[in-house]
Amino acid sequence: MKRACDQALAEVYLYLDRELTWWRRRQIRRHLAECPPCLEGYAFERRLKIVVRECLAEEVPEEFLIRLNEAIQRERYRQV
Amino acid sequence: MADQANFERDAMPYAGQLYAAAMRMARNPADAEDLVQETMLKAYRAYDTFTEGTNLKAWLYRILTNTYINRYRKAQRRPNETDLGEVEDLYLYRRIGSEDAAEMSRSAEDQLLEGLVESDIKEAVEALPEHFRLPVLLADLEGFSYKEIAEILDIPIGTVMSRLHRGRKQLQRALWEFARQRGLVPEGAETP
Repeated sequence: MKRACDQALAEVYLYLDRELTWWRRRQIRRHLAECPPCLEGYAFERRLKIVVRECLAEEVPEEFLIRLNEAIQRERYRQV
Repeated sequence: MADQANFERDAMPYAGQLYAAAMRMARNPADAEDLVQETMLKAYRAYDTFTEGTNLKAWLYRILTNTYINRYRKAQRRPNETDLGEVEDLYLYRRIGSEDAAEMSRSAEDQLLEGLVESDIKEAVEALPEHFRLPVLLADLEGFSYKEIAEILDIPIGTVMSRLHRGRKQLQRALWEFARQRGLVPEGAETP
């Protein structure tokens, strides 16, 4: 069991990033179903990944988008 | 080949997303805006070399990261950028988790994840060395696959994986420090 745990925990990021084969994914799901400590670890990493993504989001300033559009328009006229 | 006439319609909707990544690269709004504007102008000029129907988002991020690297690589390594060396897997979880007290560790998890503020996470990401920060941003902020990240950064997929994994572990270690400073760490939690 210990070895299965080590393997499952070593692949936690691969699993959460959906980079494992469906076969390996299924093996891990089976392991998690019968191993609460590993399941807890996976659940924690999943929550952390979501928190990180949400916290890294940025509201883009509206004025910047306007300036950016103007810059593209200028480039367009410059080319013709 | 893509038509420049469609650039605004097809590419401009990504400007907001690029801005979020650019903020974590350049670390301030003025430089982030410069970075996005330079990226979009380059993309516009080169748009007829883009093959329509292929991955436009990845193409734009490739231009963004190249622009960032070219512009900032010459700059000094930032003083807050540190490489902490090897960090163990599930670093944070192992600090707060306890196998025989699942319920207690659950509340410790909540305390940690809900107590960390947005600026902690931003700062922790910004403190990562560039070779870790870019893969982490591309995977965790943008949700690119390893293969896409390999193409964007022009590095082998194995390198993407190792940098991403090490970067995330280092991020966790930095978050642990913030958590300790904020008193979010349960009593008796192991100190590194």
